[in-house]
Amino acid sequence: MEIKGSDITQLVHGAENMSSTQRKELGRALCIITGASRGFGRTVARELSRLVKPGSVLILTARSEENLRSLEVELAGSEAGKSGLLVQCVPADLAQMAGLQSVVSASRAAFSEHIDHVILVNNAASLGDVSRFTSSFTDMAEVDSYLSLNVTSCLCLTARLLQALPPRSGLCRSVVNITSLCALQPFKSWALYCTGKAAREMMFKVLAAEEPDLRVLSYAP
Amino acid sequence: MSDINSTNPRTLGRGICIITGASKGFGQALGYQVSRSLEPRSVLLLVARSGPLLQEMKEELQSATEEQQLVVHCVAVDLRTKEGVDETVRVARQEAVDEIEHVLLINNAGSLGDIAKFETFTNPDEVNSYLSLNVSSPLALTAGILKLCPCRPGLRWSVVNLSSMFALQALPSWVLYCTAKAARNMMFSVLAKEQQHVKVLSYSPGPMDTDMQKEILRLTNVNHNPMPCHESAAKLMKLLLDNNFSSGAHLDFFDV
Repeated sequence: MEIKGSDITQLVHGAENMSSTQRKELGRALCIITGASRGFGRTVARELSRLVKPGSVLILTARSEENLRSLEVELAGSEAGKSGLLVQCVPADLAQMAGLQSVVSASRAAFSEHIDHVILVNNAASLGDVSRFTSSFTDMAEVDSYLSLNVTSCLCLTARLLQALPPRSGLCRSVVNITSLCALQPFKSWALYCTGKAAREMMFKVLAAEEPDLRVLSYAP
Repeated sequence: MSDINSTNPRTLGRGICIITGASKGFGQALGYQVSRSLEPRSVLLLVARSGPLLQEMKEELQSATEEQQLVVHCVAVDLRTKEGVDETVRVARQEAVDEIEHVLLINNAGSLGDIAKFETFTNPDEVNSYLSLNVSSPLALTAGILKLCPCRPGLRWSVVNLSSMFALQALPSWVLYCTAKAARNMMFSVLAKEQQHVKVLSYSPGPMDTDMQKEILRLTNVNHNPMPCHESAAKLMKLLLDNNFSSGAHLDFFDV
């Protein structure tokens, strides 16, 4: 899907603050994008690469190493790549502790005092079986597994990164939750997806209420 | 079924009622009230982890059992496990005879979780375990109970989700509880959309004098002026007996 650069800038600065803090670029940023190997995540990675200053770092994570590497090559060869954008792939299953740890370690290692913006894009997600009614979910393990990827991994990754990259003067931290209308409105046979998105919606509202200096955006593409 | 004749009290009909977290607090208070509103030869399934507490409750319901021919089953299981959910459904299925007029499921069992800042929740095992009890379990149980018997005219289905104002409103340091309650609210809203014959109610009971409230006081030092459980249970009973709520609604004790 086509994302315009301006959409991404709005993404991070929020409509209500546009007049006072509208910028044309996102600073020297450390961006962590989950589900970056294809679809929306891949596009967001490309768009962010064009909006960050040289010396920025993109941490791209997904399960598919092959797809991540092809994106890495593409970005390395792009204008941004040639001007000093660092791209790092971290193949990981975020539903596993080891996966979370590897993304956080890479992020911590990539961070430096020159970074003035941290952007986390929580994009990785799954649809769940949208052909089945709520009354068919008699298997707890299936539901557990769905929530583990779509809710838990998102909460824990965000929590770990916020701890690993704590607030400091001159550092802006932005957290994005890629969401859907399904977070707000129930749809027949979309129980898992709606439930997961509604959970995330609330989760990030709590985060925003706790941390007034953190920029938190739930964006439905 | 609601009786329009004003000289007869309204009842929940001859039903099978399943209440989770029935051994104490709100679940227990509701159990007592429900027992008085079920017609003869109804079945009440009290589900909780503590066998002894459930047994005590069953004994206290002895008079109802005799006078009203109420069958009470204690189902001592851990609803965090597949075995616990399956066993509950199995016992319910055994009791769901042809003449049942009402299947009423009260998803009350739940936990508070740790109250702490968002960024402390770095352990996926802790979060997964919390979501499993508070989201996956009521979903799987509800799905199992909805398959108890085929739909037919004259058979009423009611599913209650014990909710909270924090299903709708974010509260700092309450990420686990808010997230699970928001998830449940959506989950039961989807169910309401899908199944026209099932009436689904998300009920926010308000602060009550339960172990959970004691835990809230201990962890946050905030006193929410809890009311006795029976007071909130009575309001839920009225909602169920009136049966005027729109399916999928989220109703709060203070608004009703």
